[in-house]
Amino acid sequence: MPISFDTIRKHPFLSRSFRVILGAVFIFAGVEKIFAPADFAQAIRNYMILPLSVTNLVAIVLPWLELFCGFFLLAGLFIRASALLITILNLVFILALLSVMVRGLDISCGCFGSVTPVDWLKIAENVVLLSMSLHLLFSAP
Amino acid sequence: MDTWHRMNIKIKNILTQSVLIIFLAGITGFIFNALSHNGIPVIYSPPGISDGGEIDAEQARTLYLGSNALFIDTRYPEEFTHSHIPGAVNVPQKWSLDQVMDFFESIPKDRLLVIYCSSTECNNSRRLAGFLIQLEYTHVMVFVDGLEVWRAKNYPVEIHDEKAQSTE
Repeated sequence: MPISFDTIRKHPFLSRSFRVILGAVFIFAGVEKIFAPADFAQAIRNYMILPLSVTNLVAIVLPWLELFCGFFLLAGLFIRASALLITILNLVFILALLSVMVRGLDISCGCFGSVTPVDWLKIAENVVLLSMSLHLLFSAP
Repeated sequence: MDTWHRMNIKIKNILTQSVLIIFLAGITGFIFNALSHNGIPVIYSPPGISDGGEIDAEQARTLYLGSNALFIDTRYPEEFTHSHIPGAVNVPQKWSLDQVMDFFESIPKDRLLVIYCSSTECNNSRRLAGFLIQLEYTHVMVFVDGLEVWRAKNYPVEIHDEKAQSTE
């Protein structure tokens, strides 16, 4: 059987790889923030996008959202729903990062708890993750 | 028709599951936060401004005389040059976030800061205060009555007299 783009696109290996990668990344990202909520909340405030009063709320819920979606992807449960949520999260992160770069804010990303800068590399990483989650959402068998 | 109907149901399922996952994350997050040693308050309220961050003229004067508080004037540079509280620095409202951050880079986060403007009609001082609190300054105070009341009480001001060329 000739190999077409469709064959590659729909190949279960692609979906499984993306599920594992995304799953691991988001579980790790979530866990890091769950154990340092005050730091994450301050990192959110540094972006100066959200109103101050809701920043703690986001810091409390978002890491668990990352954790659960990552877990479900690894476990193969609610794949499309998790992929949808991760797609939305990635879009939000990319927009937030772009917003910071456009305004020239010199802040730390807050992505994995430790100090990482906000730069094009960070945005590129998120674009790669976004394309994986889009694949899981639309093309996965 | 049938395919569309089935796809519609699939989409609804995905959306329902997504909402449920969000609820799951929310509930778990709140419970964990409540039980955790590192828990944080659900509604964030910045320190300083909400609990006694606004001060009146007498309090400002006390700080002026008896502390190393840095007085920050948020009016236009022309107004500042004309007269200001002695020792104050000018951080005009028109500055960009970048300029403000550059200016405050050398100022330690626990420095006493008293921000003022012309009068209660001017909101620049509160806005700058809000920004500085986000930058984690812990002792930010807003002297809301402003220079107008300060001068009315005959508290000291530094005036730039254009006519006075120093000949001493």
